[in-house]
Amino acid sequence: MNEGEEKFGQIYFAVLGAVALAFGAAELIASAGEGFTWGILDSSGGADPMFLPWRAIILISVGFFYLSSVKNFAEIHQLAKAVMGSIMIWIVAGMAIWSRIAGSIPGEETWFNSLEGFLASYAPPYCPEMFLLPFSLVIVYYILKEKGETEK
Amino acid sequence: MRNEKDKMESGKLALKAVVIVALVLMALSTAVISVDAHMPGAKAPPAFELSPIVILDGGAEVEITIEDVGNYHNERMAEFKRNTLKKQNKTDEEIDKIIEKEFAGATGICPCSSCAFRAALLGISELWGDEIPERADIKFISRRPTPGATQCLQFITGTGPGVPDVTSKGELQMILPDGTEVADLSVKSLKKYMVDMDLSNWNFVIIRKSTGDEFEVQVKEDVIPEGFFELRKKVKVEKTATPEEIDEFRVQWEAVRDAFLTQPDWELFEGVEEPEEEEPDVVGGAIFFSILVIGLGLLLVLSIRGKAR
Repeated sequence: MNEGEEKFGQIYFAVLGAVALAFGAAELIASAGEGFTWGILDSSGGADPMFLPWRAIILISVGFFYLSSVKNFAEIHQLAKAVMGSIMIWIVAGMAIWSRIAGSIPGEETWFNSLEGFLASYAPPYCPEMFLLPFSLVIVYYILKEKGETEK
Repeated sequence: MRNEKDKMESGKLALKAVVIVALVLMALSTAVISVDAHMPGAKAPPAFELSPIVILDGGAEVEITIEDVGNYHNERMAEFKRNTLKKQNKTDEEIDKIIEKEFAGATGICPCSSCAFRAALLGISELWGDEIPERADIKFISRRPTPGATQCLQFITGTGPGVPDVTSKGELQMILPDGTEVADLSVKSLKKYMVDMDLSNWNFVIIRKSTGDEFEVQVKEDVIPEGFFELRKKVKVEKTATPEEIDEFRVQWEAVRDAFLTQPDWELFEGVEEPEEEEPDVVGGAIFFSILVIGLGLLLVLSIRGKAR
């Protein structure tokens, strides 16, 4: 990993960590009440209100993992923290996506959903983890980079 | 042999018991659905779901259902009938028999009581929203001088005789469409104003006394069948209707009552807009689904390429 890549990783994951921390704090506050839905962002816990505080704790942890990985980012242990944070996002977002896939197939009163109903079940709003998911994939580049350097 | 005979005997007895019970149930069910006190021969209302009116009285939450209103209306009308029969020198036994016959199976849910209930329900939700109103903060102005509508509003405001759980009272005022104010809301007094009625009498004003906000509820013209007012006058006031006209009025009476029990506000009252149904976001869903499929496809390709190396 060259100096430019390390610098980019530091700034990128510092910003991503701050965003994850903010989302986590918002979800924690929301879980005390009935949650909130703001545009395409959903922190209402409508599907599973029991899981909302857990999601908040996970997001806050992700934020801390990312932020603590920023200093000396190229070092393997620091990079591992960022990988850990990303995996946590993948698990929660993966669960959210899977629940959408599973929910989109059966219809309300029929065995199978209509095409319109099927597509509509993937419509917004989405939970914060689903927004963070594509941004967390950047860590794959650093993993491959690290793997390549180790193999050399 | 004797055992088999005994078994057969007991089987026959059980069969007889089942037949008797079935016949009794059938007789009871027809008795319940055949009569309505205020419209003899009217069918029972269809299945309906109406939320109760929830108010606060002295800090305690009171739930008022349309059934409560119907029962109260029935009680008041039975009492009025009793007093009328007493004046005709009937004995208590005769009075009991007449009332029992006339009110058997009556629900008290008539077009007037159900209309007033729906109007109150709508007005309260418009003026208080999600808040629960204090009974003392509610005021109704009714343009409908019928016992059904009046007793419904008296029950809600706690201003009628014998209303249970009343510590603080609301207010009920009757001002007819021509501006006449009716102070005496007894059935006897109301009868005088019930002669000529039209659509303008299907009107109520709900007032939030603490803020002075008002909401007027006017029944739509299409809710009342054509010729309803003329037939009503013939059947209920002049008593000159033919049996066919009575039958026709009964059908119209049932239709109006059923409309107030089953139809949504925007089909019953003027100025109420039908809530727009949210269209499912198919485009948004399709975009997300496409991204998901492309992402999974890429992941698959990458993993296959990785293995190939």
